[in-house]
Amino acid sequence: MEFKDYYKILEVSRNATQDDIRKAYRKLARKYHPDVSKEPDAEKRMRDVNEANDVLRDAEKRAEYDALAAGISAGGGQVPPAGWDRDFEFSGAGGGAGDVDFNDFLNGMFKQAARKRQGFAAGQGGAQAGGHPGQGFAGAPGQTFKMRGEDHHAEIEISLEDSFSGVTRELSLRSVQLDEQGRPYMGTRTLSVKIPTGVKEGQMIRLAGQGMPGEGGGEPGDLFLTVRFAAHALYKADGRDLSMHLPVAPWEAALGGQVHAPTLQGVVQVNIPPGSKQGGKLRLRGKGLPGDPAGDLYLILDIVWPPADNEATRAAYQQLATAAPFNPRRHLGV
Amino acid sequence: MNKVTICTAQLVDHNAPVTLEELARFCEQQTDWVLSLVEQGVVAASKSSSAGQWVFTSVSVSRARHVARLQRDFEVNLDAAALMVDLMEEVRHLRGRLSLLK
Repeated sequence: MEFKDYYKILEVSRNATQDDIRKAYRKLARKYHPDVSKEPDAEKRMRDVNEANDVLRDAEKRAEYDALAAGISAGGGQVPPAGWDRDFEFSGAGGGAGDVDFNDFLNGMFKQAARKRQGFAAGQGGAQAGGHPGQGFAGAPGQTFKMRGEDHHAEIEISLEDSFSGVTRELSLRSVQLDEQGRPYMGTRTLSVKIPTGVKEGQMIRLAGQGMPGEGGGEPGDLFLTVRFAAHALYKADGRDLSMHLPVAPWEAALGGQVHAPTLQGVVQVNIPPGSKQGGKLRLRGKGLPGDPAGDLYLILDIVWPPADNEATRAAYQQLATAAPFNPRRHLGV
Repeated sequence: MNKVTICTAQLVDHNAPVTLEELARFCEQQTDWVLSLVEQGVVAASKSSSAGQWVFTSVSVSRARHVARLQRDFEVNLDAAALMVDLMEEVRHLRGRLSLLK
């Protein structure tokens, strides 16, 4: 278990000003942004940096985080509360594929926790629950206010097979909650979510009412999951279309023929047209991800030459050289 | 034991899009900000058949949130943030194409 030290992640001290944090974030964003970074673990580092920035740049959330961190060190030093492990908001059942990017999720948690604490304080001491413009507070000091719960946004990684056949995924959501004394702690709840068939990369899924609970009878927020595909050994997805390299022998490409190819729907027989070239594309209509319309599967031909490692093969290559004299470097003028 | 809540997943698509107010809330912005994204063609929107309001699907939501985040974190104007998002998407698209050539 690991308590994420946001100050350490942003490489700033605990008393860093907002300006220090802003500068540190920008520096690290340039260093770790996966689109520009050469660092091997850039994506994970950027996620941490974003998460840390989301919380520390906001005074309200930062205070809440500091309170939680202080509670951890005060409450026995080394042992973090349950849930402060590496994947601490979501852990997907079913082996690794449930990894979720929960950056925004956390963001919302601290905000909500801060508001709750203020609401709690208002209820206890009659202090004014204010200072949050545009959030629909209603009610005078000391009265309960009605507020819709925060929406949460997170990413969920699934396999192409999951999209093809649909999958039910269990997600453990860990969130900051407040005990009777208004102290934050980590609670857990589990959602069982059926991911519909044919979802695409970037597709958003709404789980109504599964965000943070509302306050004073307000409606709960929604949970939004954005689908990401795990890298697949064979297929590359583009929308509902898939692409795959299909190795073929030189004679299959030259003479044409029928070969087998794996698809998400099982093995199919494919006609290779005579005279096919390296990198040539064949389209298998409707063999991509399901939907209306279903995607296609593109086979990119990879001509693979058998090694000339025995007498018979060497003789065959020699025969080919005699039978089909051609100069592949003619266009180079040599 | 933990209680397991079974919930229904609703795709954010043309059948169940996100509203203008919702998108503004996701981006922690006002609806005017979202409208300027639509006017400048940064995100695609369509009019809902019932209320005639602008509605948005998954790609627009993620683009708008990305623009909002860049504006917030780097204090750039809308045009610069939109350009950054376009370039990042292009890089990702090209990387995807490139991985097929390897």
